[in-house]
Amino acid sequence: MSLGSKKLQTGSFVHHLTSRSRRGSKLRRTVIAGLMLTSMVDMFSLLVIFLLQSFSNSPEVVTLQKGLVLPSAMSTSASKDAPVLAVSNEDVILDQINFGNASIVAKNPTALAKKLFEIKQSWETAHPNEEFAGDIHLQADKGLPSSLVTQFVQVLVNQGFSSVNLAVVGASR
Amino acid sequence: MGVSVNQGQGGKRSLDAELNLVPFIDLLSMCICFLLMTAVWLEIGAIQIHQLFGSKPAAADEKKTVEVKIRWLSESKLLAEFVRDGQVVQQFEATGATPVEMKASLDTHMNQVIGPLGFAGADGLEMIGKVHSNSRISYGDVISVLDVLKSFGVGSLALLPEEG
Repeated sequence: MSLGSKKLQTGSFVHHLTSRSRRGSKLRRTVIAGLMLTSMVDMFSLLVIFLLQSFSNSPEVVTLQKGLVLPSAMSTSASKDAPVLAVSNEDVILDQINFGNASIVAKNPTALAKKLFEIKQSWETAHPNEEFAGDIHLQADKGLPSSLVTQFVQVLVNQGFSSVNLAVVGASR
Repeated sequence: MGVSVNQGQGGKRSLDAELNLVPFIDLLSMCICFLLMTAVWLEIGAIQIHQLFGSKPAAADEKKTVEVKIRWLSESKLLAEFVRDGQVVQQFEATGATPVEMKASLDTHMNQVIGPLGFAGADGLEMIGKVHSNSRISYGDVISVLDVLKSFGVGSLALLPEEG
């Protein structure tokens, strides 16, 4: 299936190209490159197989906040569909609402606690016959002091979110 | 580059068929484009922690659990205690100047402790990991410790405030 210049039955087309080239510049060499179709199809097939293997059809429930560097871990579990609290060096963001600087919010978490309570109440209204599981995602920057992150975990637990999913980037062994 | 179905002898059709390459390459290209656009390069997972504040396990269950308490003594040293029935049955100190060294040290010690004691579910024991945070320790380092605990079968993890 090789379409190299030798096997390709280009005939008059090659003749046309070479004669045109000679007409333009007698000194310039004519280069006619043939496409190696077998290799190309092999490469395409390998690419498709690789991409199919890494394909995931599960919906992305956690979107990474800008400027936030997550820690990496090997023993991770799949993300659940739950609200996301993002804590970075600058901001604390819950449900697209920015609550301000992390250390200030940790000292006075009233607004954050109120929003968490609203989320819990809306969930309970939407699921009247189910028990509240208390799932929430916590995205925290890996450079933050662990005591600061623990303060946010305490706030979450106090508002009934006892199952905290610490978001991490999956690392291979 | 099209389909060639040669006429065989006696007017019969030959079984040797060439692959129609142009639509085949088109299809492969489209597959590659679609998969490249929908590929997820950054896999975000989660380490689940169950905070245990205010909830005391039942007495019968309490006997079947081993608590792994971890707290930092300094930036390069942490203490791990294995508590069963309220008593420390085993403890070790893991040291490491860098997070990688600390993780490796913790991994080695956990291997030594958990192996002979048979904590990993053989006796029907459940391991509970309690990691105390420290203002001098970054969240990334705490996550690497939680990761090691989880890899050793510690089912229930809790992130607790700094002691003292």
